[in-house]
Amino acid sequence: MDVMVEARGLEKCFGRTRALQGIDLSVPAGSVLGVLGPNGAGKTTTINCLTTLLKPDKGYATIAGYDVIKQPAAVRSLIGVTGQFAAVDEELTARENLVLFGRLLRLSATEATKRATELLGQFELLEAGNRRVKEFSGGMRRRLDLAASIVAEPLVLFLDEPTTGLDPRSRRQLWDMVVALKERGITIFLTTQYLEEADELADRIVVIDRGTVIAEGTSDDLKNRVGGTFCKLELADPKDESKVRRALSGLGDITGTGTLTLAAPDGVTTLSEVVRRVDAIGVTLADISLCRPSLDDVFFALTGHTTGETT
Amino acid sequence: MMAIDLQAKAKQLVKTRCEVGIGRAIADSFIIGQRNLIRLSRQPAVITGVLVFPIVFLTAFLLAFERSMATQNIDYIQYLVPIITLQAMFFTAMNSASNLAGDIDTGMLQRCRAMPISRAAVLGGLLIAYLVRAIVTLAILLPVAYLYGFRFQSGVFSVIGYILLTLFFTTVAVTGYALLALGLKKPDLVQSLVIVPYAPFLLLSSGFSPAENFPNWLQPFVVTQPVSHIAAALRALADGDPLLIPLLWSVAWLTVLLGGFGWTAIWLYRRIS
Repeated sequence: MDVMVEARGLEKCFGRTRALQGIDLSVPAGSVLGVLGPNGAGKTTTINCLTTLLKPDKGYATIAGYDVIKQPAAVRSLIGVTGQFAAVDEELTARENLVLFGRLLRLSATEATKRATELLGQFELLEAGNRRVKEFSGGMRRRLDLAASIVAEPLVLFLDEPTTGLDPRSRRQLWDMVVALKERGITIFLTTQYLEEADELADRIVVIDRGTVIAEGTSDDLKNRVGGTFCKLELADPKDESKVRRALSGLGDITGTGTLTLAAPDGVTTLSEVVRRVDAIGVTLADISLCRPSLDDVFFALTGHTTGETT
Repeated sequence: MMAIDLQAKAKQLVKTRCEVGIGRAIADSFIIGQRNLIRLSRQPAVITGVLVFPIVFLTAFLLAFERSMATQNIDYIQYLVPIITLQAMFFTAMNSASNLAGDIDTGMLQRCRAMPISRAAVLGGLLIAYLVRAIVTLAILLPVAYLYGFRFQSGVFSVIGYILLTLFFTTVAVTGYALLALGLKKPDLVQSLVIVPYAPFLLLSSGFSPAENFPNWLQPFVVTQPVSHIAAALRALADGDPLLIPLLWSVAWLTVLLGGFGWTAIWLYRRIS
């Protein structure tokens, strides 16, 4: 497969802080790489190095074969970047923003206007198109930011935590838009703090912590490393515990007291089997739920510390 | 290796979106300049800064000092208009620093830096917008000064010279303040420090009052610093007095400052993070 983005041994220090300590990664053309990590892990620094905003101290990186250090101008003509904070002009309207970026990307005034209308429609901003961005909600802003980074279609799109701070509905909307871009064949480099987001969007995931890659694989690979989905049941009466344990024997290891957990490799099927068996012995449950590993769980499994501790 | 079509597509994009060259620098600066002008036209504080402030200062200084200056045989309106002009330009440049710091803060600058646009365009666009603003200010200030009795004594070329030298000063001041914004980055910090150069360079100049009115120990600074020379050159242009010496000093100062500020600002722009 063609490699669109490649980084080898990227290192970057800020004073005494070693932000990147040798990042290696590669993104095949047309795929989505999710870079997962807590605050301060080096996600943004990696993006800044790959997008020519920052010069790495050591190592090299290429975009479509162009060297980010030696050919930064060429690299910039191939990429679109959406930063961590929606970087659009607040005083301008959404349409004016898009026209501005279109003109800067060599579209004629007419082309830029046409393209702006097209994008406003595509990103569900047509009605708000002539309002100033400072009146926009967080979700609208992010959508405009995303639209602005593809005014002239890039080969590679960098998205730095595109949904941090968004409500679930806006997050879902943005995800749909990212998926649509992927379907158009754009290679996407996405950083996120949310496993769910990487899960939803990424073909492959790279987990970074303290400036190094600590794990790499598909989201299933990662989840399997932390034990996958598990089922959690809370008994109405703790005295029933041994009865329940007996009824569930053969479904896997059961841990905990009062609240029992067991691996649920088949998800809902395992859950309904548990419900059926508990029901059969006439025991009442206070609660039962299916839990998926969170980023914290993945992190804890991979590093022995939780995400919060690394910041 | 890349597939042939992707490689060809990349090659074509690199070619069509090339950011290098003086043509690109000018075109991109004008696009960003236009954007800055739209922004400026929507900031109420800018409207008062452009329209009202220079007139208020001109009127207030005239009322306060015209009589006392007359005792030194100075026609104060002729003396005052050049420094009021420079002061208006100084305020214009201070506002440019705040706006640039805002762009750094919102990430707009980083977005531009990651786009294939000329490395000179952000500063060029800032300069273009603020030169337009400066011209608007002059178009309001000079007619009002005329109503107050200010006159160009030697014809149209001195008017053109006056405007050009003022715009040269504005260019240097905007570049200097851009440097301040790029260096400090935080809008609050920039906002609180923009006034600092004002006191020594504007107030401690021979623009408001002749150098001999300052304490002896301060006079060497007052007569040497650039604003005094530029104000003197502007007065000479207005009054039709000998121009060569103050003009040479002004151009020398402005050229040196522009070179230093401009080079450092672009250097900082490339490295800012």
